[in-house]
Amino acid sequence: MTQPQPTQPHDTQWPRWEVFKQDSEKRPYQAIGSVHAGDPDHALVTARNVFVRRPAAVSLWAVREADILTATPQELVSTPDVLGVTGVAGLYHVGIKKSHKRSMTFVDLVGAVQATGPGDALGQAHEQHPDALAWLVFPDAAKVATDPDPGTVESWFAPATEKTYKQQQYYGTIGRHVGELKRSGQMPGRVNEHPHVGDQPAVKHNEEPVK
Amino acid sequence: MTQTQPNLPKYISAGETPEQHAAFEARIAAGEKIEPGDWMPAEYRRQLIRMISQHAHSEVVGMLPEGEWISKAPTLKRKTILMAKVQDEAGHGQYLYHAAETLGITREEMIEALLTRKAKYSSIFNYPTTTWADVGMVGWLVDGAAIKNQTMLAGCSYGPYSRAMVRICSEETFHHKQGKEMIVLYAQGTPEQKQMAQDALNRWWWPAVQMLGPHDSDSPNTGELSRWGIKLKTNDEVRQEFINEHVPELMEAGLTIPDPDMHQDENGNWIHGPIDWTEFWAVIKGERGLGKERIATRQAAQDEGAWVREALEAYMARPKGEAAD
Repeated sequence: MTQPQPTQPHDTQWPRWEVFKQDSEKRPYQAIGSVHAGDPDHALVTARNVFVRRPAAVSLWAVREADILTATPQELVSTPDVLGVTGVAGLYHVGIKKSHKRSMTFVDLVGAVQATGPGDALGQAHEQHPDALAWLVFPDAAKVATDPDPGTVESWFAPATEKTYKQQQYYGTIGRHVGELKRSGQMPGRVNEHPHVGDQPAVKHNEEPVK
Repeated sequence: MTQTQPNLPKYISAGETPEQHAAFEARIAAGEKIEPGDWMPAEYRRQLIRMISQHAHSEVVGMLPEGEWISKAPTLKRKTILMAKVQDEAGHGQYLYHAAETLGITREEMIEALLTRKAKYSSIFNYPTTTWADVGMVGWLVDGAAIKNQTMLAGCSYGPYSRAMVRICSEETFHHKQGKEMIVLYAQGTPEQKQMAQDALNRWWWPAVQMLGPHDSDSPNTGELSRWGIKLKTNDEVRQEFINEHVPELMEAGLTIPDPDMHQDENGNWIHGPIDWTEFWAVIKGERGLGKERIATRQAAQDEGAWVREALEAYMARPKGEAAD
C-alpha cells in the first residue's frame, strides 16, 4: 500500500486507525472503516463521531494501520512472503471476510490465536478458515478500546439510539403509499430489473437488504 | 496516458496483458468484490480514485448550503433534523475518503485537489438555496436522485466503495424522507406555503433531473465503468428511475412539475421533455452559480481550523510522561 508522503510543512495526515465496532454484546466486532488520529483517545472519539451516529454500538476498538496485517487469497499466491512477516509474539485477533454479499463491513473478528508474529497469526487464520475471502490479524496489545463501564457506554452510545428522527421510520408513510400509486397505474415498476455489467447481465448476488 | 501498446485497447495500460484483464473481468462477472490487495488494472484504480474522491468532495461541499440554514430553521425540531443531516454528510465524506485511500491516494492530496479546484464535485451544490422550502426540496429531490445513484454504486465491484455506499444509503433515506415530509406539509398549508413549495420545485426540478449526468450518448466513461462493474446502470436508466418515483409523488402532493411535456408512456414510464443543458454546463464551468463562494467557504474552514490541527500536533509531540490533563 502506498504510504503517505509528508510533503507539506504542516502535514495533518495523522496515522490511520482501523475501526472495529460491536453493535451488541452478542455480536462480533466488525471492521467498518478507518479514521486519522494522533493518539488513542483522538482515534476513539473520531471513530464514534464518524461511525456511530446511529443506530447502535456498545464498544469500539481502534488499531493503527501499521499494526494490522491483511491478505486476500490472490495476495497469498502473488506475495506468499506475507506469511513470514515477523513481529512480537502474543495473542492475535483474527478477522475474516465471509462472503461477497453486499455488506457494511470488511471482516468480522472471529477469534484469537497465540502466534510468534503477524505472519504466523495470518498463517493460522488461513489454516482455520481456508475458505475465507480475506484474512486480517493484529496483536491484542495494539488495540485501544472504549471504556466498558456501563455509564461510559451509556454516555457514548445511547444518544445515537435515542435520536429517532435520524431513522426514516420516524417519518412513517407520507401521502399515499407507493403500493397504492402502483395499483392505480401511476407508479411504474423498476426501470432496470436486470442490472448489467457491460454486455453481460450482472450476477444476482444474495444481497442483504439495506437496513 | 502514453500509448505503448498500439494493438491493445487503451484501458489496458503498459505492462498489463489481455489475459490479466480477462481474469479480472471474469472475477467481476462472477460477482466477486475486488479488495485493495488484489490485482486491478491501473485504469480501474484511476477511475475509482476520480469517482470516489469526487463523491467525497460532493458530500463535504453539500454541507455548505445546508449549514447556512441551520440558524434560520423555523422550529427546534427542524433545526435538530438539519443538524443531524449535515453531520451525516460530514461522516459520508469521511467514509468515502477512507475508501479512496485504500487505492493509494492520501486524504491530504484529495483535499488539496478540492481547494485548488483540480478535483470536481457535484455541481448541484453550486445552485443557490433561496428559501427555507429549498431545504426541503433539496432533501426530497437532490437526495432522492443521489440515492438512486448510490443504491446502484452499493452493488459496485470495488469492496471498500461498495461498503461505504451501503452505509451511506441506509442513512441517506432519512434525508429524503425528512425533505419529502416538509414539502408535503407545505403543499397542504396556506396558499403562501403552497406557493413556496411550488417555487422551490420550479427551481430544483431541472437541476435534479440533470445531476444524474449527461445522456448516455454524451457520457465518455460509461463503457469502461460498466465493463468493470463500477456503474451497473447508465445515467439515463438511473434518471428514469428517479423520475418514475418522484413524478407521481409530487403530483399527489398537489404540485406541478415544471415540464409541460411530462407524460406517461405505454409502459408506465414517465417521460420528460427535452432537457436544456445550457445552465448545467455553465454551472459546471463556473460561469454561473456559486462555485467560487463554495470553495472560498471551504478554504476559510480549512484556514480557521489550522490552529486546532497545530494544537493536536503539539499535544501528540509532547514529551512522554507529561500529564494529559
